[in-house]
Amino acid sequence: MLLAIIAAAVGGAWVLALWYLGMYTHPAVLHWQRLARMRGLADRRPLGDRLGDRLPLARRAQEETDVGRLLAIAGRAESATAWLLRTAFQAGLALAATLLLDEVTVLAGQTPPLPPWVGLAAAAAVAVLAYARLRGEAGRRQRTLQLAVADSLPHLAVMTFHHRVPVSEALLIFARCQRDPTLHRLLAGDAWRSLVERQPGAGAASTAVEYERIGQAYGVPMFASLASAVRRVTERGLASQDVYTGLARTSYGERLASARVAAAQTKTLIVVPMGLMIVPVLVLIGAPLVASLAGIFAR
Amino acid sequence: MPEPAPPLLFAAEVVLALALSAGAAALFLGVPVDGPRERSRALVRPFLERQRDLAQSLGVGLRSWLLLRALCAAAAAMAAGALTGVPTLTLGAAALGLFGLPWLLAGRAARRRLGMERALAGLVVEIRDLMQQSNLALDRALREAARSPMPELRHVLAPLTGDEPVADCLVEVARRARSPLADLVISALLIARTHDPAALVRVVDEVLRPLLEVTVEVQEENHATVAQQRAAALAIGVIMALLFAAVMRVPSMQAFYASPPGQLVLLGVLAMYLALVWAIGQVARPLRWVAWDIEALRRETEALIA
Repeated sequence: MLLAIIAAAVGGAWVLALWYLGMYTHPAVLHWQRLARMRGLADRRPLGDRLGDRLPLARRAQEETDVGRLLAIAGRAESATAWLLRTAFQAGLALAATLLLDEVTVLAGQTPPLPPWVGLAAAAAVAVLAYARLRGEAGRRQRTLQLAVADSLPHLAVMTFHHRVPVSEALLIFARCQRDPTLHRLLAGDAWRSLVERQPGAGAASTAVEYERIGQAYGVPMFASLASAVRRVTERGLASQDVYTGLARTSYGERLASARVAAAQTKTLIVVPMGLMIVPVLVLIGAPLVASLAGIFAR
Repeated sequence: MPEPAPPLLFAAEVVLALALSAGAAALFLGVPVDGPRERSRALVRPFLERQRDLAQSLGVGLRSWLLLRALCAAAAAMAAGALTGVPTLTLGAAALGLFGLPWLLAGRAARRRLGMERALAGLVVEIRDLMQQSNLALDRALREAARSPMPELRHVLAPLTGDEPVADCLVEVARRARSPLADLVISALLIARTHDPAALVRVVDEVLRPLLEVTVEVQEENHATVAQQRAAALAIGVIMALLFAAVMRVPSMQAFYASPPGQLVLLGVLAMYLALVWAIGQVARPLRWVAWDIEALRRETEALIA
């Protein structure tokens, strides 16, 4: 029965693989698809992205779990497949180590210390930790980019006052002058295009539109705010100094407001570790007594 | 006939082969493998920066400060070893000497930086007034302001009182200040020098002055909370040490703490105390700012007008 199920599953996978490779598609359709790809007419976004256009909930779920997007946000050069294979390698090592430990114990003539499901749990934990680490890296990079753009705003206000330096060039200069190279790595070259071009409506665009798309694709609201400021300067003709100074004031105001909230919370939160300080004191006094009582009861 | 492999071993071999092939495929697809050197460098750099801050607050060099820490650890270990003869306590005392000293002096470094940043807010306003009310050029205003600085800024602004070019002096000021807020102000000054000094007046009024004032206020509040709790944690540490000294005078308890289970308990207590002290330091997170490479900024801004 089991062998029959395995055989059916392998057969099904084989049929699916052939379908994916286009073996059942008419040659004319294949030629048209190839031409459309070459001319840039085909929608080359992954299936999940295309489905997300129709179902917002699916898009949200897809954004949260899209390893390729998280890798791009985290600034890692590897592909999603490579990441999955590496995670599978690490999870497999965890499972194999647990099984080998059990086997060595069995060969030594004792009962296995861990049931086999512990190995599966360890492998799953390794995979979950790898995903959590990737999400953490992506989140950290988003915060760093947000900070890097926000802290460049007062300087943008000064440097672009007489319109001698375009805002995109000024931002690139400031990115080069920051000790953390995250913003520079994003803006220099076309590193950001791979993720931005997965968004609908990508193509040649103005600085404002590019910043807006970077903000959306990378989840960095400060880029969207900067795009809006750039649009007010270039399209509506407002004074750059007014616009960028105002934006800097607003962004710093928000940061300071959250810092005030955090400072107020600190006073309460710090009570927790202070209260827990009693535990080592109790252990220090109580441990010898507990040990002697345990000795008495053991006798 | 060869003996069949045990089932668990066979399963482990299969999983291992699959895992190794996945690893090989990942390497083939270009998974970056960080060398131990890059990883250790990324870990060591922030540590060294913190040590430099502490060393500067004490007025000593980085090497002297690290040597002082090592000496403190050795002295604490020798004292604990000579008094108790318990190996765990000797190791614990060495760890306390090594990590406790920077913890005790962290407040001093934070206070120095806060004082300097508070004075910086005043300096920014002074420069703005000199430019707007006394009609001085930015370079001249900077030199004037550096002539009679507040005591907290005397060492930091000293380069501006010399005859070096102002841009070089500002780079040196940033290097001495070792503060991201000072970097923010100095980078604004460097850009204003080469582009538009008049725009600086408005940026100072609307952004830098309120920013510096509120930031210093928030950081002072955090500093006061953490300093209070640090003192309380220190008091609890002293109480624990006294309590332990009293406990060790009782022969039965001394015998327990000299035994392996007792040493384990001591290690646990030490770990708990250190973890709680670490947690106290983590509750109040400092405000984050971008760290500027002021020397690079000077080069870039001067290249733009060359």
